[in-house]
Amino acid sequence: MAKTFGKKAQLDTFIVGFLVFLLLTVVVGAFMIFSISLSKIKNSREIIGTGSFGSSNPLLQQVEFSIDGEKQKMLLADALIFLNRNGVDHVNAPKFEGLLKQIVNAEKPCLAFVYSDSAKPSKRLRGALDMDGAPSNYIKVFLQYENGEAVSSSFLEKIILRYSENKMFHSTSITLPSGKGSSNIYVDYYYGPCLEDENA
Amino acid sequence: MAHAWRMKMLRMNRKGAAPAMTLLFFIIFITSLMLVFYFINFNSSIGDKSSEMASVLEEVEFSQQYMTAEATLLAQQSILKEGDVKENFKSFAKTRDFGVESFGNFYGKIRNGEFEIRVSESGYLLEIKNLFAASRRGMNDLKRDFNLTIEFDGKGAVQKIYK
Repeated sequence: MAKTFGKKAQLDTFIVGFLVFLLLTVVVGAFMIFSISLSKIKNSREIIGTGSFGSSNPLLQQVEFSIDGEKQKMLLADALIFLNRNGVDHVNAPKFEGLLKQIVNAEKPCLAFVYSDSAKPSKRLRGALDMDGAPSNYIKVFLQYENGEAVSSSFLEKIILRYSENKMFHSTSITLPSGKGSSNIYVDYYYGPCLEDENA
Repeated sequence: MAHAWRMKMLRMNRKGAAPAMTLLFFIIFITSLMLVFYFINFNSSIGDKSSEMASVLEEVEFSQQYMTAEATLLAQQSILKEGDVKENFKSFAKTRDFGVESFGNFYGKIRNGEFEIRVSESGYLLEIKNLFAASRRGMNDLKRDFNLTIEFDGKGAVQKIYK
């Protein structure tokens, strides 16, 4: 009799265990189906903007640029990559500054733009200034919109340092193919209203 | 009789459980110490690596924005130019393809014709599926997958951008 009782208890334990396992499977399964459906709905329905998309990033602005004598409209990022595809160099800096002048306007009158093949170029500016001029792989531009045109500042380093110290720079980087390995262009920029007393 | 036997078994079980419980507490204590040690080390190492991690995140974020902006510009130029819009799109993209690693498979997809640009109710609809943006710095590696759908009117002005 005791043997029969033990077997019944075992059977009960097995049935309860199986039901708990079944319940857990159903709950976990339902949760997973719900999560996957939710992420799919979210991915396919999310509107991220309209025509003004990316207006705060100078690299996503459209500029007129000539490649092989053919003038075409392209993103500033493409022009930056084209001019520095063999490594960041001072040689193409004036040409790039000319392109930056196209995007400075009354709405966004100040543009501070620093790029290099070393990370965080705006933070390294002070160190670069302590040396005898900035190294050739370190390019900085500051433009201000005045009387209907973009003007380069003669207080370049001082102004860029002010924007850097006020933590107004945004950072990004681009990985270029370079032979067997790869190289980077690191960009720090500020694009918007000017700080007061620009020439102070 | 049966009751006395059950009580005896219970006492025996309790005695048997004592060393096991001591061992369990000992294991928990050692594991806790190891976790604390790990957290302390993890905090200090993340400080060293945060710059690299931030750089990776910034690059992937920018790359996705770039692909959206570039696809928008290419589509606008293709719509305004005479001829087959899809062929125009591929032709314009060819001039911007500098083999940049950050932009993942964006130009490869266009080169291979793995995208749709068709006439829709509002004008045109551009769809590029299974794109990715990638970045790597040291041990930090990030890849973001996404789809891109953009609606244009008949003159190439953007109506809606989905991701």
